[in-house]
Amino acid sequence: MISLILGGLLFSAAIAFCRLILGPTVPDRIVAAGTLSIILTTTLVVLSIVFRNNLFLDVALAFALLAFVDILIMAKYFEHGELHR
Amino acid sequence: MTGHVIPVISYTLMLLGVFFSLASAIGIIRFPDVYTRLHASTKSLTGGALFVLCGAALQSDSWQSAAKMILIAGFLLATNPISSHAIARACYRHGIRPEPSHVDHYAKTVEKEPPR
Repeated sequence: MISLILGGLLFSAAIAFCRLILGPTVPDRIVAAGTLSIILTTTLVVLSIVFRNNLFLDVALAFALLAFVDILIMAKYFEHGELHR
Repeated sequence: MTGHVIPVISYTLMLLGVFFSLASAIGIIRFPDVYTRLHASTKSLTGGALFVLCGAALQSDSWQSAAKMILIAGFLLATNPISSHAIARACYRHGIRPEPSHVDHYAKTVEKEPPR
């Protein structure tokens, strides 16, 4: 059962990665990157259930925080063309 | 009998979350526009991640790891709409318009602002 859940999550991550490669414009790629980061955070939490290891949870928390800051900085850079304004 | 109730609830929640994640990924690959893709990426993905994290918290060994999973779920619930709103605002200010739009109130707000 847990392999079915992991397979479904990785399949949706693969579809989002296809959009990240194909995306015709830049904001499409930003949206696909945000989706991919959230799906991979969820996958890390499921991996902590599989391996019975609590270290994956800390990695998932740091990954979610870094992905949030990344998406905000990418959106701001895309809006203005520079960072400080 | 009672030993089987919690795993069944947990696996049901996780399968529901995987279904929502798959729906969001299919929406991202199939929708035509940036805004519609953002719509697919925000709501169903937040719900799916929340379901999977709650199901995983039901299955964890100790209450510390369950609390950490609930913390991650709350963090995703708070930050995913913020980042989606930032992306949509950046797209509109950059000049990308939703193409068949009949009512556009945000254009007046953007025009009224002084140029920077």
